[in-house]
Amino acid sequence: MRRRDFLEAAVVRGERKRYVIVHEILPTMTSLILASFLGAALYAVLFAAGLQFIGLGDPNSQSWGTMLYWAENNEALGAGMAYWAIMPGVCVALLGAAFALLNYAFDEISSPALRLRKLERAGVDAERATAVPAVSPDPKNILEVRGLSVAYASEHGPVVAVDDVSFDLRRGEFLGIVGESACGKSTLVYAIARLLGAPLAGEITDGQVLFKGRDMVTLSDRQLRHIRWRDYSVVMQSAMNALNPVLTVAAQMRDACEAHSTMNKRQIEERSREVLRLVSIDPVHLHSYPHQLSGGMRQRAMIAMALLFTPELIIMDEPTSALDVVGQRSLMVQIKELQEQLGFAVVFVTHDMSLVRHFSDRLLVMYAAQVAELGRTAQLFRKPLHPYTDGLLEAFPSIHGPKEHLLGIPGSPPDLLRPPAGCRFAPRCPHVFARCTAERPRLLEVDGELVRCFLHDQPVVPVVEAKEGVA
Amino acid sequence: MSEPLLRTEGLTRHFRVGKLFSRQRLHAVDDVSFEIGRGEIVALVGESGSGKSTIARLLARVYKATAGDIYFEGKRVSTLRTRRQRLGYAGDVAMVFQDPYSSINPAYRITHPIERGIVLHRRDVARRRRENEVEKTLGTVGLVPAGRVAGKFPHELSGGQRQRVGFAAALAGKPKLIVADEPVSMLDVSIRIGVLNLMSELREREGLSFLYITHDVASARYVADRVLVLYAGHLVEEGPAEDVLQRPKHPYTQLLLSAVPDPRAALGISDAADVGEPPKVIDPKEGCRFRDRCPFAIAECETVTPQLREIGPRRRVACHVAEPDV
Repeated sequence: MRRRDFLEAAVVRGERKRYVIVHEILPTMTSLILASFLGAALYAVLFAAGLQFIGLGDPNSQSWGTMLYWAENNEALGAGMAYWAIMPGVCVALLGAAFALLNYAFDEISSPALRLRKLERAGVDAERATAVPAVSPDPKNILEVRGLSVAYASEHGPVVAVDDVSFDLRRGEFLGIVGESACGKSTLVYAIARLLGAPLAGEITDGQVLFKGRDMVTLSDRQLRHIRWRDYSVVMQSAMNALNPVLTVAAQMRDACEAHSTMNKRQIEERSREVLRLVSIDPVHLHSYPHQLSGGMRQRAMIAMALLFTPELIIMDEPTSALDVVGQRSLMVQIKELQEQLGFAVVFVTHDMSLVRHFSDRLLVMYAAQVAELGRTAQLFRKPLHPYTDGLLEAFPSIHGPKEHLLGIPGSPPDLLRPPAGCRFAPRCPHVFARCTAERPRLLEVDGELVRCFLHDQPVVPVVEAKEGVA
Repeated sequence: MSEPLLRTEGLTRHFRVGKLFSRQRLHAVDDVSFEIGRGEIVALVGESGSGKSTIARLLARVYKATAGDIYFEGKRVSTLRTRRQRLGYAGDVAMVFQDPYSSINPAYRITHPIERGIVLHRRDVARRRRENEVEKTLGTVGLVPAGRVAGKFPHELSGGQRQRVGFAAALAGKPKLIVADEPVSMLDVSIRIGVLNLMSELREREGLSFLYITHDVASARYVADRVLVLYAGHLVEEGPAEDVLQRPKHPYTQLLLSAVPDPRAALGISDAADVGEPPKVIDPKEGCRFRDRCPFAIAECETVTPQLREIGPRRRVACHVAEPDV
């Protein structure tokens, strides 16, 4: 608590100690204090009832505990008068439940973030549209995503976080998925990996995810468990959170192995050492706890765990964002080397285009839940088709060449609850014209790449007509 | 040369590490001396664990220095005793934190830290004009319309907007120096430039100085006039930004530069895949702290700690091997 940034900020601002305690710490702790108060109160009631039950209270007083006491003493149960015991028992249980509910209420009142999160799942389309054509999957592709849409429930109705996204991934290919935060890139890969569990409350509303020809969307949890981790694995954003801090690396690897295979102890140990060596961590660290490893090593350990079964697909969600430049660079080189060595395919999510520049085969640029551009990395960097991609590229100050003033991309991404009527990038786009705000652009094929922009949709026929008009 | 805005002399901070009663000391910052001029943006560059944030917290008086001094406008900061003096310093030197998600108290509206800054440091602002002043500050950092933004809670804003709140809170006390600890590293790429431009703008318009702490060398080049390179608690190189980053002298600076991804550079994986990490400097012995990762290390590096030496105009480097330009 003492290390919270906002407390430090208050100290830096020059606040007195008393002010920091009363005005900065207490308000954030209200729910905690109330919770422990209610907990103590409930405990006291139970304790009093318990004492009276064993006859330590005043037998002349009237309370639940003494009622239970008399019930037991008079052999009420044997005499078929169970209600003597049931009524006070039920009362104690109800009181407990009431306190717990009160606790939640205080929690919601005292924390502004919780206050607004009254989820209403109404409106999320339950019926899955059957419009997806049943095209047989190409055996060269390990993953085919077709028309995938994912929605979250919110108090104002459904938020479509992934809107009709389609792409193919060939075996052994490295695909980068780039976009700003909240553009839906993480939701997309979580949907592919079928990890949109309860806390996220996202739902696949449409589309198919064909992994090795099987539709992941319709698989049951049991079927999923068979292929998850063995055939595909996931490396999460923050190794700090994804690794269990109270278990050693070895124990966590063992858990993964036991859950997904029938390896025995020795084989597991051996395999764990092997994968650690693969990511150039000395196997002596196998029995270390996560906090004993440096940030870079933790990320490597995560990747090692993902490699346990040599899967054919690894999904990585910003695995390097907690590292600094030097660490990022060496981790990327390592991932690429492992990929060349083991031949798995990679879906790599990042907000930093420059990171995947030299490592990915193709790039998928997402903007506001949609695919903005999809193309080969080299070509996309050389000649970005979408103004958003162009803006992302222009957002990096360069270390070489003349120093120029950059503008980045002014404004912020649209509210997905109420996306703009036309092109979603139109409000921030430097090349916006009338059609952009009126019509929704579709994905167009330009030089073998896909782009969602009217700049590349020059209607051919009207141009000819115009020329004729001039002539 | 006239007295700079802020000057440190032999700034040192050690932390006790290990078990209770342990005598081991982590040398987070060791003997660091630098200056920040008026209206100057100085970048402090280094990897995580190099002591950058410790320096920020020393300047902001969150930590006390183990040894060495900070002079602000010629006055020794450690001699500030009275509440009024310390409040004065807190008003002159503000800080922007790295993590825009944890640096704003979630229990209050976002105007709270700005308002407190005004209450504490600008007594001349009358109570009824305070709200007006808060909105003006929000406008300065580009949070518009200020009236609508002002009523929000932190969780209702995006990361970029929150970081702007962080800058607004720092600006509220009309400081002369803002210590910005990795203000953009947690923001989206498309928003980063906006925050960097905001820093340049504030310098132009309000004459503010910045200590911009970062591991992103390219952004340091973009905004800073001067660059300080920190490695394992030691200042290893300093000089004008363009000079240091185009002609790095210290092998560590060269390593940092080689790791920078440049989207416009030619394709090809660079050969140097360095897996080293900055050492945790616990009870160090003499010698260069970079020697184990250094491709040019010589015998002298093992035994003698290199001191910063002048190798050009306003250009210093702490390396036995580095040569000045001919």
